[in-house]
Amino acid sequence: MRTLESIPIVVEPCAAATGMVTAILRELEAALQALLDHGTRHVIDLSAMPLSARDRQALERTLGEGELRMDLQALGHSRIRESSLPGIWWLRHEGPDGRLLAEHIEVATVPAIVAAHADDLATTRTRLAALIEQVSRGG
Amino acid sequence: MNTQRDPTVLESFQQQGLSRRAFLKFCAATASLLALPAARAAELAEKLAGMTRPTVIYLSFQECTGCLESLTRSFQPTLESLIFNTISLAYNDTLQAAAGEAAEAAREDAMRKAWGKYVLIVDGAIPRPEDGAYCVIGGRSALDLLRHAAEGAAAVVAVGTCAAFGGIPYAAPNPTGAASVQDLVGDRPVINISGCPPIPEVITGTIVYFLGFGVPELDAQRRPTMFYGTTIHDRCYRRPFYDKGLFARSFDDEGARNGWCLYELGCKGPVTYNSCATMKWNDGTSFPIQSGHGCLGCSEPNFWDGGGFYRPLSSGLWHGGIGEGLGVAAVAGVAIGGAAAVAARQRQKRITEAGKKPPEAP
Repeated sequence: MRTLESIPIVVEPCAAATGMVTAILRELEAALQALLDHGTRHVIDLSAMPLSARDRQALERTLGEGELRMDLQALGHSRIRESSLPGIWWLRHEGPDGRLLAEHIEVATVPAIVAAHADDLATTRTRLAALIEQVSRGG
Repeated sequence: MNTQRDPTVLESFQQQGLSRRAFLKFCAATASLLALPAARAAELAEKLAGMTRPTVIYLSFQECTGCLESLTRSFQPTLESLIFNTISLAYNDTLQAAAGEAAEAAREDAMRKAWGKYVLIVDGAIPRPEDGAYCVIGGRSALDLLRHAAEGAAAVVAVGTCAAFGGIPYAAPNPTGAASVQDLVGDRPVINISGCPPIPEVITGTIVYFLGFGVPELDAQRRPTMFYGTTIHDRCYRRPFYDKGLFARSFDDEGARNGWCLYELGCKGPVTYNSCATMKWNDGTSFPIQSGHGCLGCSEPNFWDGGGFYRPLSSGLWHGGIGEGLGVAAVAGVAIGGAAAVAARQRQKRITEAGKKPPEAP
C-alpha cells in the first residue's frame, strides 16, 4: 500500500538572480535625484516585482539596516525601517491577522504614513485644550 | 447644515475607531492589490479621504449567496470587510436587519436620494419569460427591479458568473429563461466580475477602483483587465511543465504528485481569464490547481455546459473546440519553451486523436 511518505515531493525554490536588484537600485537612484531636485517622494511596490528569494536577500543585504526603526499599530502591525542609505525606507504593512498587505520601499525624508496630518493637528489642539481644562479643574 | 452631511470615507473609518494612518494603510494595500503606480496610489488615498461614501444598492436574484459569502466571510477585519467603510450599503436583503415593506421602502428612498449616482451591485441571473414571474421579490419581478434600479445607477456591477453571463441558471436547458445583467441592461455601464464565486479581493478592488477613478479598462466580456487580463494558464506555476510537455494523466499518478500540468485531466486554465493563480484564495493560501485539481473555468461564459470538467480542452467541447484561447497558449508556449512546447503540442495532438474519452474523476 502506498503511503504519504512514498510520494516524492521535490521543492525547488527559485534560487536564480533575475537582475531585478540592479533595476530597483537604478530606480532608487532616479527617485533620490527627484527628491533632491523637486522634493517628490517615490514608492516602489515590492509585491508587484517578480523577485526571486535570492533577489530579495540581495536587495535586503544591499540596502542594509539604518539607525531608525518604527512600529506602527494601525489596522495591524507595520514595520518601518530606514535602510543604511538615509532617505530610503523599507515599509512592511501587515493586516490585523498578520497577513502581509503591502511591502514598499519609499524614497522620502520621512515616509508619508509617519508624519502627523495637519487636520489631525487641529484635532489635537482641541483635545489638548480640553485636557488642560480638565487637569486645571482637577488640580 | 454641515454637520448633517454624510460622512466621508475617511470620517467613516474614524467613526469605527480607525486612525488616519489605518486609512492610509488600507489605501496602500488596495493600491498594491490593484497594481497602481505610486502616484495613482496617493491620488486614490486623497480622493477616498475627501469623498462622501457612495450609496450602494445590492440586489440578489437567481443566486446561491456564494458570491456574498465570498465577499463577507473573510477571516478578520481585513481588506474585504473594510470595503464597508468606503461605501454606504443601503440595501442588501441578506445583510440588512430590516425586512418586508420597510426594507423595500428604504431601498426606494435611498435610490431616489442618490438617483444617477449610486452603484448597483447585482448578484444572480434574471429570468425573462412570463414577465419575469419565476423570480419575484416584494411583489415585483427581478426583471422589473433590475431595469428600474439600473436606470438610476452610475454603474452596474454584475458580481458572479450568474449575473455576468447567466451562470448555472442559464445552463442548458435553462428552464427559467435566465439572462445575464448585460443581456437586459447592456446600455448601462456594466462591469462584470465573473467567477463562481469571484475572488473577494477582486470584488472589493473593482469597487474601490470605481470610487477613485470610474469604470476601469474592461475586456471584451466587460471584465476589468487588471484582474482578468491574463489566463490562469499564463500565470500558473505548473506552466513550465506544460511547456516541457509533462502532463499528469490521472489524479494519483507520479506526474500529478510531481506537480505536472493538469491539462489532460480537463484543466480549463488555458481559456479562463481570472486572477486565481496570482491572488489565490482563502487569504492567499492556495487555488484549485495548487490543490491538485484542474481549473473549471468558472469565470467564463457557459462554463457549466463545457462538456465535462474532466475532459481535456482538446476534446473539442469547450467553446466549440480548441479555439482561440488554446491557440494563444500554444503560441506563447512555442515562444517560451521552444522545442519542448513542440513536444507539448504533439502530445496534445495525440490525446485529441485518442478521442473524447474523459479520464476518471477523482
